[in-house]
Amino acid sequence: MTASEVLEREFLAVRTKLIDIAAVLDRIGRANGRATDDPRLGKISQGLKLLADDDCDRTERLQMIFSLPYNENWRTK
Amino acid sequence: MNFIDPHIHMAARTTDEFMVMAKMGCVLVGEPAFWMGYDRSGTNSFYDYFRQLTEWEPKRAAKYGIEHHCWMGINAKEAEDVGFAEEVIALLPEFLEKPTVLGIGEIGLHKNTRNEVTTLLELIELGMKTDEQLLFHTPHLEDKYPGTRMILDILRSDSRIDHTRVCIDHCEEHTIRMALDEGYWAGITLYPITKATPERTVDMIELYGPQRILVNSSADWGPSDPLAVPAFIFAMRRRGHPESLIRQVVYDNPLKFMGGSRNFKFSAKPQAAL
Ligand SMILES: [Zn+2]
Repeated sequence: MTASEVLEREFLAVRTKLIDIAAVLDRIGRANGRATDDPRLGKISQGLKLLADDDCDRTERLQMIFSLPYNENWRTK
Repeated sequence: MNFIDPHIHMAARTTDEFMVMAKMGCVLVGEPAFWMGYDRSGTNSFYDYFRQLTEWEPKRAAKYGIEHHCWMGINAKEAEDVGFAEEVIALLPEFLEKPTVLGIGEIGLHKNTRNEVTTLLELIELGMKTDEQLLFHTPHLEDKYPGTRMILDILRSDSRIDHTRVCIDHCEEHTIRMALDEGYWAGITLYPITKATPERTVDMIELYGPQRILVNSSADWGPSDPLAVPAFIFAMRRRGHPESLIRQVVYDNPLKFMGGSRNFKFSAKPQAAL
């Protein structure tokens, strides 16, 4: 498939997923209290920034945003 | 198309689902021992569960022309109490001799703790004694990346382990390459919310090729889909992949991997899906 064909097939799905994300973030914003200190919100905004890159390893990098680090000295820590 | 679901917890599913899987072309399932959603209160409970997997489930599946094979082990979720886990491990040798048992699994890590590692090392030790294949559960969500690397560290430091007889399961985009690079089989699990979707699984096959990849539903008592492998087949077709490639992933690969188990015999005749 060409890039245009992939885009044609996926455009509406991407559109609806982005709108869903916007709606959830708005819902959090409208709700009582604040969640701004919650590190998960920081991860979400890091993820959203990453989507704007144009490298082809975004999925893997997004996964790493939501991963704990690996400590190679785990046997002795 | 005939397919194999190499990782599914049918003990948590209904007979109707065996039927619908058979209608979709399922000819064989692999069922790893796992956590039933609540901690068991004693080793007897494990003993009965192992009997269920080795005696009862094969009969239930056979009514629909599906061969049922299983893996014996204690899941990382119940590995934290090392003493209790040792008692359960002591039950395993008897079951490893049953004709439908494929090896030790699913074993691995959950929260990547020291106790989980201790239990895991004992399970690997048992596996080496009786020449078993090993099926590894990798942790969920944020624990997956460090946990997968820890499992690979453990395996790398044990020269007795034949990497072609080990599956690292529940791989995702950030862990699949390391499993494949070290010569292991890599399982990809299709789940509605966590783990992978059919489309992302097709992406991974396009990126890394079909060799040593197993696609499974891991359907259990939680949100999951026993028809996830057919959903993957459909996604592959929609993306224009040939039937031969799809068949390699959902049929030939699992047969090849399971073929490494000392007890494995596959006798089901190919049957046309409805
Ligand atoms: Zn499982």
